[in-house]
Amino acid sequence: MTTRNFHRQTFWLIAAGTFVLLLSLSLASPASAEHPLQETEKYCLSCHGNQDLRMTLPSGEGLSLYISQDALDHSVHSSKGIECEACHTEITTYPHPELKYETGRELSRAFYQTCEKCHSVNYEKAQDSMHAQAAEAGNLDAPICTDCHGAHDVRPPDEPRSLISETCRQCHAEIVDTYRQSVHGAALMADENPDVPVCTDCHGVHNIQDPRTSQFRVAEPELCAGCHANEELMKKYGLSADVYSIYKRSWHGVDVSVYKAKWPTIWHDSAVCSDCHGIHDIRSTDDPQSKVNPNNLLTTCQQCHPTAGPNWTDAWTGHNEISLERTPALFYVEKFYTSFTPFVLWTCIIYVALQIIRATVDRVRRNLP
Amino acid sequence: MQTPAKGRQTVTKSTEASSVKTYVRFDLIQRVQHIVFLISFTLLGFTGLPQKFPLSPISLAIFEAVGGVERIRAIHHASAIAMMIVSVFHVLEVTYRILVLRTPISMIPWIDDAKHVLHDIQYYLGFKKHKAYYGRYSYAEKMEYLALIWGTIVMGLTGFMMWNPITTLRFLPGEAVPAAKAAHGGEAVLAVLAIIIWHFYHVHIKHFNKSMFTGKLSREEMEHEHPAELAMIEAGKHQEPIPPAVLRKRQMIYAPIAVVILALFAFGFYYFVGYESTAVVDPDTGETVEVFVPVTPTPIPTEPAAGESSGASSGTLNWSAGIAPLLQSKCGMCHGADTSTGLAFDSYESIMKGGTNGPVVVPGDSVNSSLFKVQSAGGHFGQLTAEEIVRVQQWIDAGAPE
Repeated sequence: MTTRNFHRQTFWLIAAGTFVLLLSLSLASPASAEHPLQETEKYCLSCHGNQDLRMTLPSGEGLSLYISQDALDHSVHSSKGIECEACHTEITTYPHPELKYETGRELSRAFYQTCEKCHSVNYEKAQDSMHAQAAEAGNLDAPICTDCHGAHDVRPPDEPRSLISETCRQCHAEIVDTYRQSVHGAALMADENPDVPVCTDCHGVHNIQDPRTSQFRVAEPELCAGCHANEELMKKYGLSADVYSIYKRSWHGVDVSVYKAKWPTIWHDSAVCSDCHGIHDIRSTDDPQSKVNPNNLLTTCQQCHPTAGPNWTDAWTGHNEISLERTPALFYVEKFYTSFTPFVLWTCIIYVALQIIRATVDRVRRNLP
Repeated sequence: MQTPAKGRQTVTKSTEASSVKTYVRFDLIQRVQHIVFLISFTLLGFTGLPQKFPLSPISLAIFEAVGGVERIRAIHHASAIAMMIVSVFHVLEVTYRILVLRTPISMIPWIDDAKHVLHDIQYYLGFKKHKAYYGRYSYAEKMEYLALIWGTIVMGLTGFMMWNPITTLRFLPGEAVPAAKAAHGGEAVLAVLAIIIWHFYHVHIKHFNKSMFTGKLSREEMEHEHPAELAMIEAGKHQEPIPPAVLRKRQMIYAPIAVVILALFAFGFYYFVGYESTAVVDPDTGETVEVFVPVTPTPIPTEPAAGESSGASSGTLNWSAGIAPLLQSKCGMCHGADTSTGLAFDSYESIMKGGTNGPVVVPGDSVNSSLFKVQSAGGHFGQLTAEEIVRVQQWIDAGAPE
């Protein structure tokens, strides 16, 4: 072989090698991006895609082992390449290790703990929730991650927004049905209104607390104020954004604020928002069924003030600024003291100041030679 | 609480050691009234103002120190009762002095007082050599006394309205209660600040006047504070003693009046203290709904309805139409064409040939067919339903037709 020949061969070898390399790269890279991700899922579903695949647990309870391809396709995990083995870490091959759970519930309560691996913050919060407390107290039906989010079909929980109330409704049907009649719930159901609160806005998402505690009670005005003191938001619906600031100065509000500041754990009866407006059944003031509709207001007051008479409701100024039109007597009393008090006090101050000046001048003069 | 007391003001005392003359300014009854009023006023201020400004750090500290808003209110109410009692007593005392002792009414501001104000202003500005010559009560004292009368009436009435709102609103429009609250708070601020500025300056800072506690003023103090009164005393112009018979007669007339006044106030107190112990009756807070009400049937069934589209539900009992679709869908994963299990259900030939352990279908004899035996025993990985097993059994027993 001559040197020239050798050089020619080398050139072709390099050219061919480069071509193969480029070709394989251009073919291989998209392939590795798509297929390997779905591989486990495809493999598992070759058995678990069978609708009739099932087993019987020791308790005699049947357990379907069917996983719908459709559910996986719509789940948030599968599309991100998070597949079966991400959660089912104990399964590496077939035959699978034996399941040691008596019932399906026991199995769910064991399997959901895998959520913590990625969602540790929300998982921790859920462990502090009332639901977790109920489970601790022995109610194994108390919800775990998968009861609300689903297991294989985990989807965004708030698409659409009304899905949240639907999720809670699985167990809290009566409350959610009441909520849907309320001014908030009706707006949500009508057009997925993003402004109105859904269950989780008031109760929290993962660390759902017992709403019957004194702490929840005294914090409630602030909770409602989250929206009802928002000027921009309230303007949209023609509502006053001052209800909270005025409430805080009212008979009820003073007590509640003080208890919140000093004794949040001591139950206090002074009215908070929900005592008058309702809890899940809050309605617009104009609604004849509203607890605070002018026609129903006295009955609402009589919950706590049973002997209150018909004039009683006019004494309520807890959400209204003092105005000449609505409360003229109050207006004039306020006006009197805001002008009379400074007048009297300034007169006193000037008069006393004059005396002090004179006394000082006299003393200085006396000391002069 | 300074009241007309001219009848006894001229008593003078001299001690032998020093010829310091003292003049009785306030008798014991007046001093006791002052102390009771002073204590109740202070307590009312310290318990009332935190309620007006509840969220200031000072207020919260006071609430905490006392042990609660309720206790603060209890002290406030108790102090109010003390103040009302001393006020009634004062009314009785003043009416007795006016009606029985016929002392001149010395607390009403008069033309002289206006002249004194003008004189004093000129003095303070340097246009006069000396202050005005005050009589028994200076205009400063008169103004303070009248302000106190006004304040006590306003605070008493509005306080009563806030304490007993339900009763109040049987007679007055609803607005009366918030108006009372506004007046009570406004008057409180005015009273406390006026006391601090006016009263404290005149009797504590300018010159610490102890007469409200000792009852006496020295001659020097008299010269300084009440020169006109001193002149009157020294000129011997004071009231003649009332003859006992006349006094007795007047007292007999006064007694029923006092009884009526007392009865009126006692009636008021009964309402004040006893009528509405509290406005609030244990409210039934919260909802009375069942919290845990699961939707039935539950939207997440634990088991899907089985055997709906297993491919084995219909048709003739032969391999190609009935059994092949069933076995291929449910067993094909492991027992498919490219199987590693040694048993394939991909064709009639394969299933009839059986696996490495021998045939699985004995035509006409399901009991001895391992396909049927394994499936009826249950627990196989690709477990058929009972209904499907029956179909397989029927197929085998029928001779496993192709």
